[in-house]
Amino acid sequence: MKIRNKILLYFLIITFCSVLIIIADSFYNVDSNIVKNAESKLEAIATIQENRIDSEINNHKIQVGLVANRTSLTDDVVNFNTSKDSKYRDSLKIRAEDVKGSVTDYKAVYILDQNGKTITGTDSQKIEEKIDPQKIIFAKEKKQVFIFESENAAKDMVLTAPISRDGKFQGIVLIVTEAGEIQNIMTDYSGLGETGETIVAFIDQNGDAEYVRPPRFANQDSQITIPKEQTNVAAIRSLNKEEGLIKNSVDYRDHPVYAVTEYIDDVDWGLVVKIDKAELYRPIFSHAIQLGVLGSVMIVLIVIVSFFLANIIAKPIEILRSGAEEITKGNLNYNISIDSKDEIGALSQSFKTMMQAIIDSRAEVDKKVQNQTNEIVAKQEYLHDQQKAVLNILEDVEEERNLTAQEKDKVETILQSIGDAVFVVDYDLKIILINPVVIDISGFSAAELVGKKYSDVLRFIYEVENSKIEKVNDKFIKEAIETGQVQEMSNHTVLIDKEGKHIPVADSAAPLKNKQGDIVGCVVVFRDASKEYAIDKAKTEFVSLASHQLRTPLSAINWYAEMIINGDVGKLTEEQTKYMQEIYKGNQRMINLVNALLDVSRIELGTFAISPEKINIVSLARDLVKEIKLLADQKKILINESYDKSLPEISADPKLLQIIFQNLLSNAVKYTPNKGRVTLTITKKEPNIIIEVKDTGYGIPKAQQGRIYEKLFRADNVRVKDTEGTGLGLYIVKAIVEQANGKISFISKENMGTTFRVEIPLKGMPKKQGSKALEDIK
Amino acid sequence: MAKVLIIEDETPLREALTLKLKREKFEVLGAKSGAEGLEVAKAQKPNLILLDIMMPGMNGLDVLKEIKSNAGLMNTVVIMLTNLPEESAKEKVKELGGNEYLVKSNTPLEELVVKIKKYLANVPEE
Repeated sequence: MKIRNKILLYFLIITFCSVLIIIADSFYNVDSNIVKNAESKLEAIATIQENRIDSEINNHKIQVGLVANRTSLTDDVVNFNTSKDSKYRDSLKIRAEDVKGSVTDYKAVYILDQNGKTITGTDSQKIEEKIDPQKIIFAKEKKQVFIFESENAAKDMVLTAPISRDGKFQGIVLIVTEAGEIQNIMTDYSGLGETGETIVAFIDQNGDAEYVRPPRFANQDSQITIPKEQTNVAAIRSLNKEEGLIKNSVDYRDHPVYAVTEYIDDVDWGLVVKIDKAELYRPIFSHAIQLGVLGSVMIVLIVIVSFFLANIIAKPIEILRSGAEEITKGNLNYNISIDSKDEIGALSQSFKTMMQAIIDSRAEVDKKVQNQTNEIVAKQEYLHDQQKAVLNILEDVEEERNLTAQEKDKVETILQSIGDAVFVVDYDLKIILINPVVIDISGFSAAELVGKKYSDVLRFIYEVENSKIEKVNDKFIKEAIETGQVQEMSNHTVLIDKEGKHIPVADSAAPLKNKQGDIVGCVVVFRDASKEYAIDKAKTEFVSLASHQLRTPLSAINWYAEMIINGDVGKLTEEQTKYMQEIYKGNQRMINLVNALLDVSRIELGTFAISPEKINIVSLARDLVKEIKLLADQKKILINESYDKSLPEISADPKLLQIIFQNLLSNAVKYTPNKGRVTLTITKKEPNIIIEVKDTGYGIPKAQQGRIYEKLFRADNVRVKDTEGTGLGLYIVKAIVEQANGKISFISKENMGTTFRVEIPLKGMPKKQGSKALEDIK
Repeated sequence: MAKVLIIEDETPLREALTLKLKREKFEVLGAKSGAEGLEVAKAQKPNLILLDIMMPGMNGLDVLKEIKSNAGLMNTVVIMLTNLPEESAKEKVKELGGNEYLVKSNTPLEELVVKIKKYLANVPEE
């Protein structure tokens, strides 16, 4: 709401309320005063009227008493009573006339006898017949004043007094008089406004209330009678002895009146001084109207004033406001002119100052904005370039994606066309990808494979020839995932296909890594190795057979030669013995060669077994040294042994250890000239056992050291010497050592000697299933 | 005198063995095949049998099985002789109750004689 209206509203409310309060206050105070005044007045008048009545009654009583006391009158009455002589009646009549004539108001005078009967009177009627007998009775004893009940509207009064002589009741004086004064009281309206009057009422013979004269607003000819049942009429109430201010009665017109009532005991009259409530309230009413008018005028004035006031306040504010509006619109030069010296003026000054500040800062801001805009424009151009660059990149990425998609397709195509079976498992070992070869080999369908844990469908087992043992053999997959390294299926892995056929398989499992290098699964590649196995089997059998066929004649030669040399078929000459020995030696060489070739073939086929036992390596070594001592002694070669004290038992295949020792020792002895020295050392160096065989022999020429492990290779320097060897020994030793997770190395200098060093892990040789052990080699 | 039965299909080898053992004063019986050998064994009840593995027809392992399940022969000492490179037969031999397993080309006759004498030390010489 606008300020002006607010001010207006509040002003109006305040003044309205004040005016209302004032009016209300005035109303109650003044008007109650009015009412109180009216009441006092009524009471005052009532008192006056009452006094008047009292005095009037007294006067009358005195008057009639005086008459009754007249001697002459009394004499006449007494005389009449005693004589009943009519002269006295006539005298009384004259006296009565006298009395009547003495007072203007007296309308008739009667003299009654002791029985209350009229003796004489100023007129002829028997007055006692017109008067309440009770009153006649009372008249005998006391002076009375009462209303003469007649049909007349304006009532007369009756005065009585007893006549007595020497204290004896003689008769009654009865005067009918106009109730002038009393009626005057009723017609005295002074101080009673326009509707007020005094009522004097008496109880008539019926018990109802009659007025002594027609009241103010009645027909002057009619008499007013109020039935006694109308108990709310003031006159009735006064005659019921209710005295005082009565605010809620009605009069003979049934108008609500304020009345002050008195009961005049003496004469049993009721006095009512009343005034219409309406008239009483009229001043109040007019007062109210006055106030209303006044109030309205005041309100109008106030509205006008408040308008002005509101304006005085609101206008400058309005100016300020519209000024601010202008300024916000941008019209910075709008001048706000308020010159008043009050706060609003000060405000407008401040406003002006602020405006200036705004103008200044605006200017600054404009400058800044300009700079910013320039910067933004520059940035925008930059961004635009960037955007272009990004778009280029996106194009490249899109290209890449296409390429990748193509690659992916290529890969998938390749995958589909790889001749080996390829399947991929995730970290939980569920198959997520297969190629058709998997289906071919295993016989399961894609639906049966994809999504399942591989071990539920593809069962890889160990199968050992000649045994029924079937051990689950899928460690290679689990290990690939765990170790993150490519694992080969161990030999003799077999896959059980859908129909339960055993299919020999071979190849490997490789861990599948994501970009972060975490292992997320495994790629398994395998092929049906049945043919290979068949081939291997064929090869092995061939080798077996071949070696058997070779060995048989060799054995024959061996044994016969042995028997001849032994002298079993006759003594030999020294020369014959020598020849035979040559034959035997040559044969022995061939046997050794066949044995060595057998081992080589086993090594090549991977079919040799490692069966580790707990070995005391030192005792084995000692035995083998003893064996070679024969040859060593022939050449006068010294063999030294040096064994660590704390060598533990090692888990190793004794045959293989034997071959290692035999080979190294025999090489050392063979390739050392007479009187040389061979040293065997076995030491412990965590985590391995170290076997060293050192000789002081011919050594290996540097140029040929690289080939020393080759099959059938013999270095040149030993060929020329008179030594024999198959050239297979070191090849076999190396193969054994490496299968045993060990290492072999040597240091050699021509003509100085050679030291061979074999390291075997303390935890021993791993067990290796194989179908064949290696042969003894000599 | 101890009786030795040689069951070997290769004649030169059998003859060499026979010669050697006769020299060593053993009574030597010979058989050219597994079946023949079994018959002879059952009939003659030798103290020791030299048994070749690789033979046509019934091979040495079958013969060994037969011998060891024969009430009259099961206590006979049996030395398996072979030129086969199959050492796994060594296990089989042990399983079946053979006493020795020797590779012919690697075993000099002297060594063989020593072994035989050891096994038959208990047999009284006649």
